[in-house]
Amino acid sequence: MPAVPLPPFRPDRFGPAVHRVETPSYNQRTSELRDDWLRRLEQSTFLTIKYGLIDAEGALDRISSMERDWDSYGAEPPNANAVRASKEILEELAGALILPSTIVPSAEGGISIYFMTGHRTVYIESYNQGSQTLVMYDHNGNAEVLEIGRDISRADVAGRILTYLG
Amino acid sequence: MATQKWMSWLKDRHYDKAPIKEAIIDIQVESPSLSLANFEKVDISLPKGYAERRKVMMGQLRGQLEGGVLTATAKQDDMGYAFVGGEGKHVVQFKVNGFAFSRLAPYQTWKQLRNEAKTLWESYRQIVGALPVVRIGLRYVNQLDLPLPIRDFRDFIRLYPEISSDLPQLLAGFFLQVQIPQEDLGAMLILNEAMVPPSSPDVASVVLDIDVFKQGLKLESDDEIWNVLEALRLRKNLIFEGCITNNTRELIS
Repeated sequence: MPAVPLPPFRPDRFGPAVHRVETPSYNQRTSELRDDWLRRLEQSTFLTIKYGLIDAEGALDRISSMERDWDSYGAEPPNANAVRASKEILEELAGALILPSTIVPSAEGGISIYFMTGHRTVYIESYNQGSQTLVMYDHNGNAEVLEIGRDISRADVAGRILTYLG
Repeated sequence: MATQKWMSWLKDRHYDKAPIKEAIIDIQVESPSLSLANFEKVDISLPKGYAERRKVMMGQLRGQLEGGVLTATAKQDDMGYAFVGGEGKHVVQFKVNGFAFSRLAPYQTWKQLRNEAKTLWESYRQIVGALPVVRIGLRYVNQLDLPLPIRDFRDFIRLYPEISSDLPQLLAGFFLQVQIPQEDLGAMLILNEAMVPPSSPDVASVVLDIDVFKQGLKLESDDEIWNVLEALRLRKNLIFEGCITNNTRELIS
């Protein structure tokens, strides 16, 4: 196979002048970049919410591909209804600057989205058959369960979560 | 004369469909003795309309970061508190090492951003006292929604990764960071540019995250802070204009 001639090296193509190199090592630079990016992400509410939502949707995608009996007790995997309803509520809550703590499949057949603080927990369960509930409980065993659409309107869910966790 | 006109235009220029998703004023102080306890009753000094409840949500935001890939922020939990106001469009962070004020979309004007930040900064000052300011930053996170199909990124942006002509000319994503000293201002620009999931199927979305800052300061007077911010704001406009083309100007005008 004939050798492919390389184009001549053109240093003049590198426009910005490099007066000094401040990168002691690749590893250190990688670590600095990561830390810098984390600081930037945390400083920006827009980026935190945007990337948080991307992570959450990634979690939904992973959960949606689970198989039947994923918990070895015969649980159904989340279906398209539950995924769609979860995605919609996540987007709505992101608009109110609320991101979930964790997203897990529900043994009842559906998806649970958790929001947690030190002493209180809220989760929204989207069932395969289409209904959604808002569950709030604390470490003392006090709990409240509301059906979204019947006991509480969808538009009021974000405010209720903030009030409860706050 | 031409330069003066250009600078004057930059100072006053306003795009009706500005792609600004968030504008952040960041002021850091020298804080050897500050702790979270200084901020525990911070709501007392906050202007009307800012809710304490978002202290919790600050934890939630971090929780997400901890739970996701980006876990290194776990030890930063005790840095301070965030409060939300302005009908969910204003976020202010009171931290032991400084203050940050964000305006989320829709962006209004520089004057409104600065004035709101000034009011909140005074509240922060009441809590932390006369500590010297060591770093001042101005950051604008823009999201350009470029209509598909795009023949060439160069039609819209002037800072982009150049793909060698010997490589396939397909680009599924990129993340680019440049650090450019602003020597005349004694400042630094860190510009992050990345493709992000599009806001609708008919566009490609590019985040243009412009952060200009001065550090190594020791400012005692608040007037100096706002003078520095005015200079950084003008520079930020210059940088933004330097990153876009007339096609993009048309899109956002």
